[in-house]
Amino acid sequence: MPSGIDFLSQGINGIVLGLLFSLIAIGFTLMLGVIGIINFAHGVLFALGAYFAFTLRNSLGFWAALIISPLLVGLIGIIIERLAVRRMYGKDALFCLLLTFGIAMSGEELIRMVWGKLGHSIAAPAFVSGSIDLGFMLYSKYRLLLAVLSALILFLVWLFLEKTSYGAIVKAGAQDSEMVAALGNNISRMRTLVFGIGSALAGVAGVIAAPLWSVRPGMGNDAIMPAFVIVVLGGIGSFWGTVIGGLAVGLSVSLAVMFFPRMSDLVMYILAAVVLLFWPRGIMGEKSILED
Amino acid sequence: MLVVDKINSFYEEAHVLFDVSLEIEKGEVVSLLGRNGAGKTTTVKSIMGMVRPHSGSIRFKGKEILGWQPYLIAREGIGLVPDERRIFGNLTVEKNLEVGRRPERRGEWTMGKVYQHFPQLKKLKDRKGENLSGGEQQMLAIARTLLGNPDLILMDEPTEGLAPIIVEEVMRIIRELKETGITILIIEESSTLALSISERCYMMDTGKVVYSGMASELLENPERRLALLGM
Repeated sequence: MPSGIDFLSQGINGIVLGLLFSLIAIGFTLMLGVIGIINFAHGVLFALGAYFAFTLRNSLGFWAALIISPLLVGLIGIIIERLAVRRMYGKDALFCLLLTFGIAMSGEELIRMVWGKLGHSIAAPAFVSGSIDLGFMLYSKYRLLLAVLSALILFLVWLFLEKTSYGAIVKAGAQDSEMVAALGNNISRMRTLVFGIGSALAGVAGVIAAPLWSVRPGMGNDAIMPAFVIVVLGGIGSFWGTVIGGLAVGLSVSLAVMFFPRMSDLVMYILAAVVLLFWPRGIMGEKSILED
Repeated sequence: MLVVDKINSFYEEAHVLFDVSLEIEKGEVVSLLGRNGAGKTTTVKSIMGMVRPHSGSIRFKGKEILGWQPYLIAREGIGLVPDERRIFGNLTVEKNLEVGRRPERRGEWTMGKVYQHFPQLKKLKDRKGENLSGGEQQMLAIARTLLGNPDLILMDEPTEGLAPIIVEEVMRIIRELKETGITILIIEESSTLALSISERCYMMDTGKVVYSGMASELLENPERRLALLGM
């Protein structure tokens, strides 16, 4: 039987992982809630963030990579939206699903061409290497930094959505974009911006996750599947639903490792299935853009 | 101010507006009446750019706006108070108003003036749109549009589904707006109230304009009005 300390340390691991999962999912749910598209390319944008950081960190250092990589990924997102995704608006959701699936696959191949087939491990930056003594256990300093950064970025997203005028337009657009436009707001530009922000958020999650998970061409799949599950769990387009969903997935994965290590990959899907039995729109879900 | 000239609009394949023409002068209050399905809301949506007419012309302040995107039409100075109010339920009253704010269209309507004019909204400013009563939502829909400082307001069934006492309150507000010199097109099914504050009136039936004239004429002749409405 695992001891109390095991529970505590896996619990902390679960929260740390959960915050990272929430960060991965927040951009995905923003695009889904506001633009109404399922972006399968979210995982490859996450991977690009990690690879850009992998390249940039040697010359520019961790903090510069943390800023520049997401900006580059955001820019790529904007280009993808302008050139391809916007042609799918107003059409059957399947078109966009296929399109972004194609982008995800070609993106992954592109990563293989540029950075090679093999994975690379990335060391945590020097100032957070090693462990910190929490009194009852030693804990990785990088994981703590990861949790703080994820929470901080999530907080910034919350500030943007709740406290700025443009955030109000974005939230209103998730509910009734035609009316938002009739009040004089440029919806087309807003969608581009939201796609860019969502991509940049995927990118920043990739930068932060890289030292934890190492970089591999297929790492996007480690991001897209949890993002999917979290959005289903938390409810489409809901900020708090995404945070709760992320923490639930993080905790359930970490705790499952103690009891059934081989089940840990499966447990989030079971969790999602059980939640959906009781809340078909997810825990915090309301009627969404997809139900019209 | 607005000249709609022989527009023909479609929903998918269905032809719903047939050569609809109407004119609104600056400072006028005009009503557009007709039964459900007569094409009133489609006319409004065509003016606003939400439905694109296949032919005809819509000129606003001398500019051809047919084919423009809705947000550009709004920025040009046409404000919509839509059918069923379309309040953003997930936003507070204050945030709803912010979505309607157009700082680049300078004018007398500011947050301060709106709250002064609609004290009830100030009291409710932190409440979510979905938790307002129908009357409160209607006030909010009007205030939200006013914040864009439009030259012309299209009000689609502003009294629909409201209790009589609230209807009077809405009409009082429209009268006050009229006194400030703003141009208004009111769309109603058949309302003596709408006629009583309008100078002129149009009536539609099955996608066509079947009457245009002085509002007083129809007010004094209820039988004619019912006949035109096909009732």
